[in-house]
Amino acid sequence: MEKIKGNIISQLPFQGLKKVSDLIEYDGPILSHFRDEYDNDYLYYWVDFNESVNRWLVWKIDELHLYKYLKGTESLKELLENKDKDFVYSIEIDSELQYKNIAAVYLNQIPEKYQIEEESTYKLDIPKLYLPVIEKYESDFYLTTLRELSLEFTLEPSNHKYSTTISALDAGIFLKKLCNSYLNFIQEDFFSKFKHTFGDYSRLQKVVGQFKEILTPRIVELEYGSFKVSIGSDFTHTVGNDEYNKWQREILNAYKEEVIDVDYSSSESLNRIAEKYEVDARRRIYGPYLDILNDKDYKVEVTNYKKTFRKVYNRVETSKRKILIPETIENNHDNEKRKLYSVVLELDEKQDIKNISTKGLKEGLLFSQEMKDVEIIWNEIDGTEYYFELNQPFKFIFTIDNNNSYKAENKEFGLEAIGSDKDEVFQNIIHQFEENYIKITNGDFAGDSNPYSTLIKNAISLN
Amino acid sequence: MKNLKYHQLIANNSLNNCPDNECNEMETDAFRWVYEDISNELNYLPTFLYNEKQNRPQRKNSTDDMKCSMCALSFYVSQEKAKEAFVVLPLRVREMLGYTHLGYINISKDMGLVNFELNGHLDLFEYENIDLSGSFSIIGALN
Repeated sequence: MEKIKGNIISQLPFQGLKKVSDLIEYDGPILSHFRDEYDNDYLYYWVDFNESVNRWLVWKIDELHLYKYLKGTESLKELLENKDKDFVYSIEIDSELQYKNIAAVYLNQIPEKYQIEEESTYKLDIPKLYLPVIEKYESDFYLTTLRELSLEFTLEPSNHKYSTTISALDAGIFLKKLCNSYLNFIQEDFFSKFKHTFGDYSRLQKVVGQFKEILTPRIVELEYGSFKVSIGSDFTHTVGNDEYNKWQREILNAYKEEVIDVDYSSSESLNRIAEKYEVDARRRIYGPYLDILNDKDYKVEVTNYKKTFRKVYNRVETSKRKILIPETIENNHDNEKRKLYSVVLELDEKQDIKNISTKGLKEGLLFSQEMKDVEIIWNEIDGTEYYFELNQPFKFIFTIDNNNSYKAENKEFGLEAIGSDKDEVFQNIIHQFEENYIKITNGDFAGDSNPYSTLIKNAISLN
Repeated sequence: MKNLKYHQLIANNSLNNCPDNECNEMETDAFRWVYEDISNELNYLPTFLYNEKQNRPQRKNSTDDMKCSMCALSFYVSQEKAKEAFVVLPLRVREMLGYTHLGYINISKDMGLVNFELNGHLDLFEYENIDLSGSFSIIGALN
């Protein structure tokens, strides 16, 4: 038997101990539940033997932890090592049930061979006699446990015009971004850990989809003043096997370590992330979180339920952000195909369409239609050297091609301007128009008839 | 009524109503934790005798632990159940129990009385003059 370091005592300081049940047994008890005459609960865990005695570790346990163990949400290791006690008892029992060598053993003095591995959760059928305990804790267990595992975010407004309150809009956007970041992390982490176990990619995607639904953050605590919200992640509904269950139980903590508990001012730690995750994953996971940290309207602090973890952030510098999200990637949306729409708006007579708000646009929109191209009509042209008053409108066709290249074309004047946005194209076509006009006035025009002569009423020099 | 192989052990330990009326003769597949060497006689001993043979004290922590089942052989109803029950044990416990392999037997009605318990576990109370060793096979490692 292992040598025990502890303080020898004459007897256990409990009275009227009676066995309730063997929670684990095989050819005899392995883990037994006892109760004393005051209804305190104890566990006996078999750890050693010699030719005359079996040795047991004995410790007090409260009913809630017993419930969690039976439900598989707390392991035997956690029960043994729970810091709500300083020591456990080591006792030796012979075949005649005589107790010998009773000792109080500090947790850190428990022999290494008696240590229990992480995967020591209870997976057997729960004995029927525990059904009342299960029913007692079932109703509030879910919320209690979610809270214990949650992360608390506090949003402190940047200015105190409205005291310490945060606008509902900011709170809503914050929650949405946090959810996006977390769900993208879930997807990335599940893929990296389990994709090799799937032969069928669509099945992998389906499982990830199921987990993203199950693990969507739950709000488990809410306070206003400084806006505080605690976010938990479900641990009861699951998909598949034990490995997934284990992953599910640890995913919020993994998010904390990989995304929240990061020094965003350190190039070294950001480079480590950049090495670990592909740019697209970084954009999806870290992009929304960096937006939160750099929101000008509030500052963020994150803690855990027991306040053993606390993280405050400064604004993340652009140069640091670029380590995680290179600009070309960040602006990826600009590569999306741009389209033209013709819209019909209903506005008040005095409303200036150039100053219309998004809200005004939404409210005034009567209908819209996608256009392949659009004819632009100018009644005057404002160049860099001349301002042109026109006899008749100058018209050109405006298009955006599949490569998001913008084009303005007027066949009558032989003008064709290309650019990467509307302003560049307009500047280019004005520049061509002006250049041609200058050529004409310098006598360089070679055509049969001068199209500009009928179009231009006055060309006013701006110099 | 046929005599049980360990009826004397049951009597010596004053185990009343052992085995109880729930036990029946039946034919069923059964899986048991064993040592790798199929000829090891420890593979075919009920707990009480196993402990004696190994010079181990009976593993008890309460007066009601001298159970009827200590005079029977432990089995599981399926390979999966047998492995599940093993892997939930802490490594230290697995090491102390000493079993490394899974044995298979097709229990027949003439072998004894069978009692089904929780978690896919069953006990076999052998009849007198039954020797299971010839009907047993090792089907693989437990881990």
